[in-house]
Amino acid sequence: MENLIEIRSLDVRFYLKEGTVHAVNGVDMDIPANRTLGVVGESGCGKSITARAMLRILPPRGKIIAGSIRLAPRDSQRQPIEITLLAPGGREMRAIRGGDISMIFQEPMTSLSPVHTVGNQIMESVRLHQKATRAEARDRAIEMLRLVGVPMAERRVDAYSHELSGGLRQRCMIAMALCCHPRLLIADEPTTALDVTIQAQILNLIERLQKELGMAMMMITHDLGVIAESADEVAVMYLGRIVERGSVDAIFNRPKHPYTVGLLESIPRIGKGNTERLASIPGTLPDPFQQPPGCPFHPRCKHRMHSVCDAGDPPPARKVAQGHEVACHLYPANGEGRP
Amino acid sequence: MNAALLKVQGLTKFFPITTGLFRRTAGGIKAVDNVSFEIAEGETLGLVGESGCGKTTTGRLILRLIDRTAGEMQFNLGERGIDLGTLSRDELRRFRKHMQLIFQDPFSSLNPRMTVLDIIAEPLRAHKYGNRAEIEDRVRWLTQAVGLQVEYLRRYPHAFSGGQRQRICIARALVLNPKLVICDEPVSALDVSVQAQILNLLKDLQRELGLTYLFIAHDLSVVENISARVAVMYAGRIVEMAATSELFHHPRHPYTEALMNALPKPEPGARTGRIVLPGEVADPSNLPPGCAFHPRCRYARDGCREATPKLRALGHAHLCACHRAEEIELGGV
Repeated sequence: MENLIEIRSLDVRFYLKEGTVHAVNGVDMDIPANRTLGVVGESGCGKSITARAMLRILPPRGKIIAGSIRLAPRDSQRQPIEITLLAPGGREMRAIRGGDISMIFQEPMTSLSPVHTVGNQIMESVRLHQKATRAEARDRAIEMLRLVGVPMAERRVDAYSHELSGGLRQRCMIAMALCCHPRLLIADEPTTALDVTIQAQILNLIERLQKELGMAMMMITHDLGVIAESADEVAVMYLGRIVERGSVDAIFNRPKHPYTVGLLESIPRIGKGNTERLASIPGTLPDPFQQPPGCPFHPRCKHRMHSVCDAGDPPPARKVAQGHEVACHLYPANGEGRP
Repeated sequence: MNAALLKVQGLTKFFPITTGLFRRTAGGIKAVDNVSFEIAEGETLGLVGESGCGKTTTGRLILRLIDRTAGEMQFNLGERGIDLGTLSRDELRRFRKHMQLIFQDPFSSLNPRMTVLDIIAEPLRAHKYGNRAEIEDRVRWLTQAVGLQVEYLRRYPHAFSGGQRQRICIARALVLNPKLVICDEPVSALDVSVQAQILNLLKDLQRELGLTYLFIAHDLSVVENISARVAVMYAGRIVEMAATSELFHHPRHPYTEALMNALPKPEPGARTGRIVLPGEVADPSNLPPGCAFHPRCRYARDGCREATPKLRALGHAHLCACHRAEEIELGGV
């Protein structure tokens, strides 16, 4: 297996009272070791659900109904681990969670326990995954807090999450995620709830730790600026599908899919002044219970072709350049598509 | 430049911190400290800063949703200058039709049990605007003006997406034909593709209806896109204020420089070194002495720890509160 994680044709559905939501549809994704995959999309595009499926922490009504998620073994002699076949609460999955794959969440206030000190929460993870005495685990917790730049770590280890600011809480979350040297860190909107100057601190920290510890990373965000500065490869998602994927350079400088183009045009850019009218994508995200037929983006697409885009199956991903794929009827299989 | 619609002078808000059984005052927070600015009729002033800097409190003080500790707020309505701070409750209620507010979160600011028609018509009814038919005409006209279909008027807010809800909020704010609209983070809860629609809509409505905006936001690129002038706040004070392009291309305050630099740019490889401010936003209940920004400032000298810098004019309508503004060279965008 070349990559650390290989996801193939992943389908996740939510069975709710109001109907069925096709949250993730046929997603293929590769994350190579030591690289950063940026996953970008708007709310409801399935980016967080894909990550949660990898950790088997889907909400109760979410089910993986097809596809595979394979994790490369630590020992290359062994077989890849098929995550979709493991029991979510089983011993193997618990060893992967935190041990091989860790996740940091958007809201550090709600994802830290209010009744345990941050030190105890880090120690819990250390003692679950490694053989360590309480004292060793505590030393390890202090060491981790120092690593993520928490000042006065030996005192903060006994602090509760409400005693810390948003930036420090996010640092503690990162310390907890990294204390067992995971091979993949999933960062789900890690800086969205933070102020810009604190966001810069946390992005710098994540960048530094990734280099020092040699991890792969999956950076999930709606912020194209964060993606441009942190990712090597980018996957653009819309309504549970990857509509375009490529290197960060290709996605930002040679975007192909009308949705990617629209997203890039609709963000205000600093330094462009106040005269410019923003290009916007018309319409809104459709009702999650009723996905449009054909290409999911066609109701909002200015290039839609009658009876091509609005019927049949969604367009498959096709290669437009080395390492650059797009799922759009404008780029047919036989080569040159429209610009 | 048109005449000033709103003139704010020395606006200050002090929130006491009380402790114990007898609510003894044990200190306080200067949420807004000696803030002065003017907004010309038809202009947009952007107010930008990080959480806790006092930008929202400033907006709420102007609307008299909370009462000021000190300072003057003069609203010029035609020939009349009205002192907002001294209006009585009744006068204030009648006057509020001239100034309205758009909130950040369109999910919590609409009553789920009212139809869209009732939501938009409520201000008209409260201000006794005409009869039923007139009210409905006005609501219909405005619904179309904000880009919603008239058929939606009988529906309830839950049936709408975030962007559509924000359009309803905008219609509600504009239904009384206000002069001044205070937009408090109107697009930060929206998806990127919808954010652009709402920014464009706010600009179009401003042109058509001659609105004046105080646009409060934390996102510099959004503020730049909509504002004619921008004021940057830190720890309750305005630290820099200038015309938009002047501020973005030639910032004079180190905090403004750092804010602009910290913003991730959607251009891979564009970053040439990140200015990372150490520490966190100053604690407003325990401000550092001298310039509140000095513990995080890479240009700070001993003098910055002693005296609080005043907001002073530097060249063309550019105000800056930094002791070293003349000496240091800062990078803009």
